Amino acid sequence: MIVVKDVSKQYGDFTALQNVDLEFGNGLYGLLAPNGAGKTTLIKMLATLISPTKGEIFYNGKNINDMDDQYRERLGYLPQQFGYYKNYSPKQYLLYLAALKGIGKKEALNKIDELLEKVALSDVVNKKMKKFSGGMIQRVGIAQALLNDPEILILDEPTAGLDPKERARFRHLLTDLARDRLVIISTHIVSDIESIANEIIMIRNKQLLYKDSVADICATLNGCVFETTIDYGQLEDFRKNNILLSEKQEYGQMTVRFIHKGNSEDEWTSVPPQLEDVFLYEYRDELEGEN
Amino acid sequence: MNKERFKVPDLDEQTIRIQIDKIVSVGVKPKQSFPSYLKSMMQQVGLRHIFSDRLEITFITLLVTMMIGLMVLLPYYSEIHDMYGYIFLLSPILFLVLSIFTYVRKTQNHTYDVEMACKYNVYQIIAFRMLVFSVFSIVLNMIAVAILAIQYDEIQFMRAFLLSITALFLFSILLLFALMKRRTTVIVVSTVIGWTLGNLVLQSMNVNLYNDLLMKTPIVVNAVVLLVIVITYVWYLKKLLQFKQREGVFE
Repeated sequence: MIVVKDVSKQYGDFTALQNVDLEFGNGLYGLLAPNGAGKTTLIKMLATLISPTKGEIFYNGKNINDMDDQYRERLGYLPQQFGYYKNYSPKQYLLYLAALKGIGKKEALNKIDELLEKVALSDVVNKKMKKFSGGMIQRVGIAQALLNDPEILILDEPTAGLDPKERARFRHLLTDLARDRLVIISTHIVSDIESIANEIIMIRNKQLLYKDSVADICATLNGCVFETTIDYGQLEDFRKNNILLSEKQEYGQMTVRFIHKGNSEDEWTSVPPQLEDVFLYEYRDELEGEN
Repeated sequence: MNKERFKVPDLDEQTIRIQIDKIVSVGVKPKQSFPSYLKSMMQQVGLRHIFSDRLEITFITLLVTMMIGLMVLLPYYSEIHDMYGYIFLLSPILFLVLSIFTYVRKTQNHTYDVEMACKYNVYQIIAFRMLVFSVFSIVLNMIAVAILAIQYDEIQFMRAFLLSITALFLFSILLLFALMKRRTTVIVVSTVIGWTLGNLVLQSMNVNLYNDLLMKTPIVVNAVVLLVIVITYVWYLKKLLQFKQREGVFE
């Protein structure tokens, strides 16, 4: 079990995270927040790439930095930018990383074949990676994170560059893996984790906003999410009075999904809130800033 | 409500001792010695992966050729009595260039994050390579000094060899110290420039103390100084092996 205890991280005057407390048991956790919210900082601290300025992170009661290689032996990590050697084949690169992870060559060779099969790269095992697409590189990254059969698997934006079919395969793989280990996925794509995460963690203003199941997080907007159809001309006024989540043009009219707290109107249809709705609602300022 | 009562059995001294030993042996990780750590790293990672970079191997070969060429050509362009100074200045150059090349390649590479999260991380690989490079440099310096001593009777092999190895380890300590304090390329490059310029200035100004240190110090004193320096080097190298990322990502 990982316990994040009162952790803050500062880079000079800039605070990236502030007083974060978290607990992770076995299962799949989705770390969901827009870009720049501090996801990667938290992930890097969990991967021991950086240390907290304040607070501590424990694995089974021991500080992960003090555990040193004993912790890293149990860790599988895919960084946001997965680096590789262009002239290496996936097999060569995985053999190299297996050696750094302290895995014997014979054991590594068997594991590499099995993993490359899992990520559907069996037919390019010996091809140089410089010819690979972004999705293929990402799949090599996923395979390397699993090399040491880690107890803790941390993946930072793992679905970047994957096509819908690959994403679906990846979700199956993760659900399988999370049965007997701790998997943490950082993403800003709600659909990546909505259906598979046991718990969602949201960070806002450098602090923990939610750590709960999808159902419980969605319940925070119960009775506040509606859909209705309006004329295109009404859209600007509608935007001013409600928080628009999505808009879709149909037969010359607009179907809008929105949040309204207070009395509703008869022509509005109340709909069950989705995780995407909570995400768009909670991060509306940050997302507007991005746009 | 009935409270559950725990009955603690009366244990004899021997059983208590056995159980304490068992708890300690399970809970406390035995501290691995430096040589056994290096041995297990060598066995698990292997030289093939520690020196996996083809560009690095090409670079090493090129450098070795240049160094030997320089050592052979140097006496034609300088006075024999300046040779000890040049040996002191140039001895760490091979080690220095190899170490810096490794350091910059490893820490600036986009594979840094992936490799840092492995059991044997970037800094442990760098430290191991530095150790191998220092052994490699000792052998090469010995050959170069031997070539000089055979060519010129004025050059004493033992003095030149001790000077060369002292310079090598002294510089290694400076480099390791710089790496420990602030792991930035600027600091590492400054150390290199500082060493080279410092020695060149002292040599060109013909500072008596510097020359006496190089040419007149008794060989026994040289040997003792070398021993202290080697011990300090190993101590710093152990620290780099146990290096933990405290401050943040590489700047």
